[in-house]
Amino acid sequence: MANKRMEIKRESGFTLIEILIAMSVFAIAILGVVAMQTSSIRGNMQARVIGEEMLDATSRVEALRMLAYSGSDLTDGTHTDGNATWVVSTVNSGAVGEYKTVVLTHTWQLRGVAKSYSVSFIKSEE
Amino acid sequence: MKSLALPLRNERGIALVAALVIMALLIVLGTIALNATVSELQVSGNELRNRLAFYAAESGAQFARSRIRDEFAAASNQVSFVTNFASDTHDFTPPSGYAFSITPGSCSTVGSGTAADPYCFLIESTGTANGNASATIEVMFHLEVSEGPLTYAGYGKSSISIAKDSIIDAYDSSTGSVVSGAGDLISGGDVDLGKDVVVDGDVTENVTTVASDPLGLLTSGGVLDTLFDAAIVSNMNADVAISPYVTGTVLNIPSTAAGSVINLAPGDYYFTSISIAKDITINISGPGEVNIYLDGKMDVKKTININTSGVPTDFSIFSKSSQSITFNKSTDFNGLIYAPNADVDFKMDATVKGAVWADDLWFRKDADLSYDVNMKDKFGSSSGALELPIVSWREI
Repeated sequence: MANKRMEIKRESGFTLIEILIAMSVFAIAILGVVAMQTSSIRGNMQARVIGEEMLDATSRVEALRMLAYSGSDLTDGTHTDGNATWVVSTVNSGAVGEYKTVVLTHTWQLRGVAKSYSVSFIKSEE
Repeated sequence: MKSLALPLRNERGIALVAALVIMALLIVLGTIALNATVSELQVSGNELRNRLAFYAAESGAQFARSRIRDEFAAASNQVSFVTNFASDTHDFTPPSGYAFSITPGSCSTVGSGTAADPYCFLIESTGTANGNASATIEVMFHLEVSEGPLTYAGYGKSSISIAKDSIIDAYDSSTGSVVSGAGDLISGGDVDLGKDVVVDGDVTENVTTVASDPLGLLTSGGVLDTLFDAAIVSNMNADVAISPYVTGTVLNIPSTAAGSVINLAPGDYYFTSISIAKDITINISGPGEVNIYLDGKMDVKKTININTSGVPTDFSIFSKSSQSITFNKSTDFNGLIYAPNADVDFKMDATVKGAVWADDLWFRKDADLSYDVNMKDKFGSSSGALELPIVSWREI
């Protein structure tokens, strides 16, 4: 009987040393996992911002492409509206082979760092 | 039995094993999340590069349109330009900062340039961007060439009178060859043809459907009216070739200048009166057009040669006035006279190549009027604003 009680006693609970080792291993692992999750969340946000800003920039480009060739937003020089700046220059001005080059730069901030997209396109009269 | 069961029942170290298992699970989850993030970033980047490639391709199509317009306008034979568009080489070198390449293609039918059957151009434009991104589009343009109103050898708002032994025909100044049947005469009143007058074209009288001033010279804000106003300000009357004969806006080449050759620089001139004594030759000094804007009388004596070595489309006289334009005998004139309110009178032996637009138009004996078929392009769309709308567009 005494022998049986001894055996039960030995199986119940963990030793202190066991707990300490397990907890420290677990803690180190959790640190790594937390770091992983943080960078994952940060990366996700970055991808989302990049996507959003790209949509912003391209919708601006689309709007400019649809404008009338001689519209006021497509006159020679630098135009600014919100985050977008575009530079229009007319090539072969006045000649039959006239066209306009437009370089649009869309800038934004990502965690305090300035980022930008640059889209160039050409427009010619109908 | 006991020795076998004991190690299984020994649960010492289970906490560490559990920790390791949970840890492994968390790492797997973390790696999945990180992978998703990385691929999302890649997707964003790819999408951006593809957009850039697409805009490059689209820029190529727009650039090609301006090149086609330019080459078509400059082509000496526009029909063969259209026919050989796919096989000819074209300068589609992109401007710096643009990455696209353009390949001309062939339409199933090239068209004939009319509204019902316009010319057709097909191009394929491939744009590229960083990271091997590329986009290709195929675009088809249509081009409709409209004729200007100067389609007649002679127009007389009130009348046309051609005296005996005169010949009215037509030719093409770019080739020099005769164009049969195109020497048309049209008048809002009577057309009076003398004995043995030959007209190689249609003679139409009492026409009310043809505008007497199709180029808008007498209408405020019209095409020619605007050019006229600009010429009053910018006129080149001080040009050294004629400056000795100009007083203000009056041009008077006196008989003492007989035998002179005057080489006018291309440009716009504005006069309120022109008189030229006999035996004068007037030429254009270089490539380009001479446009004379006249608001008054023009009186030219005999044996005058005007632009005889040049093409008729390069020399024009536009008169706003109702005062007459008179050429004495033996005039040799290559050009356009557009004077919807003035009487234009060529005395004997006139040789005129081009077109004459007048109120009362007179050709005395032995006149030779040759209509230059290129006059119809002078104020038509093929010389200026060529519209090339996109009629089909697809991504390949």
